[in-house]
This record gives sequence, C-alpha cells and structure tokens, in this order.
Amino acid sequence: MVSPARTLANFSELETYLAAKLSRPVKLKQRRTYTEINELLAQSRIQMAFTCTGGYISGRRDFGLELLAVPVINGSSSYRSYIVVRKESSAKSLADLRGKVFAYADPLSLSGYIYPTARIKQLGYSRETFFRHDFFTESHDKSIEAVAIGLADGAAVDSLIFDALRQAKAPNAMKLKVIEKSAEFGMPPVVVAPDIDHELRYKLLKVMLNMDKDASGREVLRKLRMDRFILPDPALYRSAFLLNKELE
Amino acid sequence: MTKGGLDTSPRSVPWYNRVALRFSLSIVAVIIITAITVATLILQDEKNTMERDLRVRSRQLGEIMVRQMIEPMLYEESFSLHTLLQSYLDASDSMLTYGSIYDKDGKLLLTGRQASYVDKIPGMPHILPTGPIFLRDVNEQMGEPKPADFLMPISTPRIGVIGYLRLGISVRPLLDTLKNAHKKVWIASSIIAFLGILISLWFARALIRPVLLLNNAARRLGEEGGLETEIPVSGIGEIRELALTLNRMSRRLNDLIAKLKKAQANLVRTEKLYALGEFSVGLAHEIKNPLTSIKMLMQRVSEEDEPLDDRDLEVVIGELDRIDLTVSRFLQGARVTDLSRSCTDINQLLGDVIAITRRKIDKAAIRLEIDLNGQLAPLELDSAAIKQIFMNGILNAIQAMPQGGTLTISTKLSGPELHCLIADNGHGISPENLKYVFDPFFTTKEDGTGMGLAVAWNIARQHGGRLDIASHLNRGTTLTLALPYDQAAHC
Repeated sequence: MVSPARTLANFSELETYLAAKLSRPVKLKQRRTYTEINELLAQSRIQMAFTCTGGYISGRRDFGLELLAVPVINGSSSYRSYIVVRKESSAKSLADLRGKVFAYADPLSLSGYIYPTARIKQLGYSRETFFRHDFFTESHDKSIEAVAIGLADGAAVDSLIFDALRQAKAPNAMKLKVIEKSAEFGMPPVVVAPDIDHELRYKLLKVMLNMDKDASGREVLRKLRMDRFILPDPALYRSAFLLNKELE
Repeated sequence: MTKGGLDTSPRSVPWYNRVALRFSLSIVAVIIITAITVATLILQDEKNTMERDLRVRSRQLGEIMVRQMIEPMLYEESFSLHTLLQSYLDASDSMLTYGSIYDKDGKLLLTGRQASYVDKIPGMPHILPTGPIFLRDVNEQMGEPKPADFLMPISTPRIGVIGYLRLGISVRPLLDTLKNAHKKVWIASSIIAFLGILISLWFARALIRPVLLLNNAARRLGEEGGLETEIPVSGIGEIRELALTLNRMSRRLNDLIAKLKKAQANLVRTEKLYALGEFSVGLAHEIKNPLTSIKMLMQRVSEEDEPLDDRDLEVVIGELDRIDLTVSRFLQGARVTDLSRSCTDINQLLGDVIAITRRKIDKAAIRLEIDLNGQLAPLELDSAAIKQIFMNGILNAIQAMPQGGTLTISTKLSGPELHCLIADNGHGISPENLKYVFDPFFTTKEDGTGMGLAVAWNIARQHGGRLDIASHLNRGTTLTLALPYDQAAHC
C-alpha cells in the first residue's frame, strides 16, 4: 500500500487495521510523487494505493489501473481545484497571476497541475510563458506553505487538503484565500494493480466498504479525515479525463 | 317411383338444391373456414410472441453491452470498445450482424460486422433518441430479410448520454422458426380439417338419409292412392317420430276420406229424394187445377145428366192442353234436349223479343234503353231456346218494376265471351233468395212455376255458356247470359 506524502493523513492506523482484517501482514510505502506510485503499481510491487485523480487517469491509460473504492469526505465523493493566493494579494482570478510566480503540486496532480495548466491554455497562453516563474512543490501542503511564506504568488491546490487545513486552523492555510474554483472532480480514489489476485481484491473491497461499520474502522477513518468508502462511479472521472486529454 | 324406399335420390329436386349437397357443402365450408381461422390466429400469435421475444432479447443484450461499454466510453478507450464489440459479434450463438458505437453527438467511433453481412450500415437519425429504439423493427420485412436495427444510448446517471450503441439484430432465425411453425401448423390444420370433414359428412349422412327416405315416402303419400302407403320407420328421435306421425296422419286421412265419401253419397241421395218430392208437389199442383176443372165438368154431366156440349169439350181440351204443356215443360227442364242450332244474329234475336214485349213494357211505364254492339258476328245458336231466355229475363224485369223504371238491354264482348245483359232497377232479390234462383220450382211469385230460370240456366249450359244473376235489394237486378264467342261458336 502506498500513499503520497500527504502529511495530514495518518496511514499507520490503516496499516494496522488492514493487517488485522486481512489476517496478513500489510506494509505501507510512501512515495513523493504519483508517478512513483504508478510505477510501483505497474510493476505489481504494491497491490493497493491511495492515489490522485490524475494518477488514476494516466495509470488506467498506461497499464490498466483499476478503481477499487472511492472515499467520501465531508459527505462528498468529489473535490475541486482551488487557485489560492495570499490574503493581501490583489489578484481576483488566475488571469491576474500572469507574470507572477506560481507553485504546482505534482505533475500528475489534477488539482495541483492539470487544472491550472488547462485553464491557462483556455485563456490563450502557454504554461511556459504565462508565469514569470513556476515550480513543483510535489505536494499540496507544500504548495500552500510556498504561497504562505511568499515563495510563490499563487498555487493550485486540492480543495480537500486546503479545506481540512483551514478547518484545523493550520497557520499557513489561514494566510491564504481562494480566488478560483474548478468544476467537481472524482475523489482521489483507492486503486488496485491490474493483475491483483481476485480474492485479495474482493477482500480489500469488503474491508474498505465496511470500515465505517465497526469502531476501530471508524477510528481509522477519523484519522484519515474520511467518512467512509463507497463503490466508484467511473463517470466521476470523466471531467478529469477530458482535462487530461485537452493538455495532450 | 321406386318401391321399398331404398333409393334416396329425389327425382323432383335439382341436384344443386338437394339438402344432402347443401348440408355437406356447409359443413365442409365451416370446417375449412374454422381450420384456416384457427391456424391463422395461432400463427399470428406465434409471430407476435417471437417478435416480442426478439425485441426483449435485443434490449437485454443492448443493456448488457452498454453497461460494459460505459467505462471504456468514459475514458475513450477505443481498443477496449472494439474488443468488446468484436467478442459479441464473434460469439458462436451471436444474433448480431453488425454493431456500431457513436459518440454523444452521433459521430461514428467504430463499427464491426459479421463477414456475411455485406450491406451498408444505415446512417444515424437526425434526432438522436433518448431511449432504446428500433430504427427498423423486427417485423418490418419486405422481400429479402434485413436485420432489425436497434439503437441504444450509452448513458450514466451522473453525466447522461455519452454515446450510442447500434446493433443489427439478425431476423433470419426468427423467420426460419416461423417458416417451420407455418409448415407444422398448416399440416396439422389440414389433417384436422380433413378428419373433421370425413366425420361430419358421415354424421350428416346418418342424419339426412332417414329424411330423404321420409321425403320419398311422403311424396308417394301425395300421389293417387298413395295414402295407403306405409312410410318405413327409420332414423332416430324427431325423424322417427315424423315418420310415425305421417303414417298416423295418412291412416286418419284415409278413414276420413272414406267417411266423407259415405256422407256425400247419403247427402246426394237425400237431395235427390228432396228434389223428387218438390218436383212431385209442383207437378201435382200444376196438374191438379186443370184436373179439378175437368172433374167439376164431369160431375155436372153426371149429376144433371146433361151431355157435354162443344164449349165443354173446348174447356176439357184446353185443360188437357195445359196439363200436356206443364208436363212438357217439366220434361224440358229435367232433361237435356237436342238443340237445333242455326246461324243467328244475337242483336236481331233481342230485337224480336223486344218487339214482342214492347207493349207490356210501355204499359208498365218502363223506360227502355238499348245498347247493342253492332259489330257482333252471327253465332251458331238454338234461336228459339235463346229467345226463351231473353223473354224470361225481360218479363222478370218488368215484374220487378211495378212502379215503372228503366230497363237496360245491352250486348258486349268481354274477352272470349259475348255478354247479353238485361238489367232493371226494380226491387231486386234478397241475398237468401238469390242463392236459389236457378233451383227448379223456386219462385216468389204467386202464379210462378219456378221453372223459368232453371230451364234458362240449362239452355245456357247447353250452349257452353252460363247464366249469372247479380242483384241488390231495392236497387235492381242484372241477368247476364254469357256465350262463348270464339272460332268454334261462329258460323
């Protein structure tokens, strides 16, 4: 199992919980980028992963990555991309950030990279020349931090992470404001490697879908800041797919 | 006519009118129509059921395929779509002849077909459907069978329609099955109809045969002396009862006829005796008066010892003449005497009679109207006898008009007859009396003999004609002598 470096989420409880429910050892691996996660999945070195929407779309296209379950967070199984700036910034939209410094999360991140890139293209510019300077922070909380400390003038971040940080009154998040919201994207899903053993896949699905039915499961969900897991609806990822396609 | 009643072919009824033929034809027609109707209904039902079944199967296949295609459609994975479509086309029991996938705007993405299907796949409709639809239904088959064309939107609840799946559903298996069913149903119907006809005709024969025998027998009953024929009692139920009833009826009719004949003979005898009695009374009365005169004369001769003088002898001879005349008249009325026919102009004959009776007519203050047909040809007649009829008629008319009136004498042609009419407007004859006017000795006059019209009636009959009297009380009487006016009657 793998997770991107999402500092907010605590996956160690999940590791323990899964090991108990599956009656087998579970090892958690963390990687910096979604590309690295997809490599692990493609080579079947891991069986299950928490990945981002863009990671799933490219993984599906490249090696047949499959959806297992979708988390429901704050009653929703979808999220958006936020364009955030510091509170004192005069920028009202992404267009106002032209010639400024911009932070992306991960090249595979839908909310952190694909969405703002597609928007710039829609505005009639190219990513290379739109900003004075841009860079990848490799995670959403780092992008938030980069804007908060003045390293960047704006960033594109996952609404789930930003809202969660705001809810937790994280100081960096409190310094920022949202100037643009994207359409809804399917929640970053739980995916499985395409050649995963069928029995294991079924067991995993059962555990995930029933996690909110017992106390220890609910504790894990609380730590993950998730309500529960549900069966995925492929239509949720159509918008992300189209965005991806637009960039290609 | 056949004897024994075994020949059932009626001679008098033409073959196309015979009950056996009509009955048999009706049965055959009813059975054939029923068989055809039942077979048609069964086949129609079968066809509808199979078509409905094919539609349902098409929809189900479409549903399954669409469900599997949603994900590859969402991610625009053409190869997956192609593989999926081809796997359905290549399935050994596939009912698909072709399949096409379109995007949500109806643009063709990919298509696949069976090697055997060479026709063009039809284009998309301008208005894209919102639900599954047959662009060409399974039953729209003209000539060479074409696959049913089924179009179904590929949609997800979240996004709506993301594309379309089009399937060519082969109707060949349906048509083959139907053809097979047609053959079986028609063979079964034909066999059932054939057996039904045989059985029905056998029943009809058993039913009709006694009727035909009965008909033959009943016809013999109607022939001369046929009432003595016994109808053979065959058949069952009402038919048997009819035979028995007819037999009973003919026996009773026979008895009745015998009784009637006996009664009639009695009646004739009674009538004859009565007539003889009347005749005798009339004759006796007619003879008694002259005889009384003679007797009185003879008594005077005997009592006064006085010889008969010439005048007495004249009286005796006169009275004897009267007796002779009376007897002759009776004889004339009673028997047919030979007519002495000669060529006679009927108008002239009437003129003679009118001349003779003119004085009497004038004296009775009667107005005479004569209307004779001047074109009449002379006829072979006994002029004396006919004259007697006219005389009788005119005298009767005069007597009927004591207060005067109008006497109309006319001749006219009426078809093959010559009518001579003597009409008065006198007191007429009552209906009761009118019935007896031609009877001998019937009279309403004090001095009448009752023989006049009876004799006249006889004369008319001897001429091949007849005498009619029409009369209304207080309005008058018309005597009509009708004589044959044809080739044979002319001289």
